[in-house]
Amino acid sequence: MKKILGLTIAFLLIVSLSVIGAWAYFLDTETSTGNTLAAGTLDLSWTNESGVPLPFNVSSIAPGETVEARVSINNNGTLQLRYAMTTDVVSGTTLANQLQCRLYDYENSIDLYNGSLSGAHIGDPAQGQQAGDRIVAGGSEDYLAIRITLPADTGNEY
Amino acid sequence: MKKILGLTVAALLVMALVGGGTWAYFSDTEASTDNSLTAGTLDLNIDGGNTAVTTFSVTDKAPGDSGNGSSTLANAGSLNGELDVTFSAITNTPGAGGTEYEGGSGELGANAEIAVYIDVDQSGDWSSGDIGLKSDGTTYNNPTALDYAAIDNYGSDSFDAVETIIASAADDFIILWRIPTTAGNDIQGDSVSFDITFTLEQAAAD
Repeated sequence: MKKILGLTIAFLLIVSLSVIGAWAYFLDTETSTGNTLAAGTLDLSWTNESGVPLPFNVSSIAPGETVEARVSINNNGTLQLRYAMTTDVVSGTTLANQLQCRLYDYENSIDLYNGSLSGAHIGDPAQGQQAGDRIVAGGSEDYLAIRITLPADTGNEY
Repeated sequence: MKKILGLTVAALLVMALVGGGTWAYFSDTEASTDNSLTAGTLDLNIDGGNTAVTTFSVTDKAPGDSGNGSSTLANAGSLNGELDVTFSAITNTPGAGGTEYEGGSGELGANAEIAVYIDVDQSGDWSSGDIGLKSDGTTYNNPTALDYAAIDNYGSDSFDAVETIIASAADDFIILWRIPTTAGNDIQGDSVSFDITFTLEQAAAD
């Protein structure tokens, strides 16, 4: 009797252990941590360096006279940037057409534009690289001189 | 008188010996010696070791940029194992460099995209036999096209028994990332980071 009872108990124990599950299986874990993607920044600004400060406020310019502003175009971000410049004549188109504008990189003595003020531009503001677009590295600056002249042969009608 | 007694005693003795049992039968003995039981080993290595690695870490990226990272998963034990993969700790940090468009709550994780797969044949590209891990928690196989989804969508995705890595075999785990050109200035300076945990579990017995 005792022997039969003992065998029955042993059998029940074995059955219950196998039903519990996989907690006794082998496993190993490894990790890949700190996977990171970070974006850079793009921040354009300008500051007056010397000469007539921008914005220009010149009254009574006479034929033969010249005013010049020297500015730095600053890249305050981390990414290299590319810039272009355009001119919008708000009023006085006739005078804007007569005034001459010379844009140049005064650090390297490179002419960027020399023609009428109304058409003054650098590069092309459309997305992408175009001829004339200027490159400024992150944290760096580009030096630009804007020289405006009223030609000496300008007549009294102006 | 003595003789009869002696004979009786002898008779009794013989009878007792015959009734005594089987200790005189033939018998033979063999032994099964040196029985042994050795447990196998289950050891997952990542990039050749058992310490945490980083699969990719890049900075100063912009819309239109892309790249990838790779880590090698090897079964360095004697037992076959099934691989589980779990994403965790996806963290967005806003830019704090002070430029015009930085700030917000960190938008890079919602904009930057990843495609994740197991390069089973370690060929270096998405090819036959490779297993993709989709951001909805399911897997897919080549030749289905790689599935890109925003990093945030991977949340705490967990992939169970993605594949069996047999003893001595190794696979590469590949993450391809990209920032769409449609991402705007609100991601400037932001960063996103995440962890991945790989578990090799004892494969089911045959």
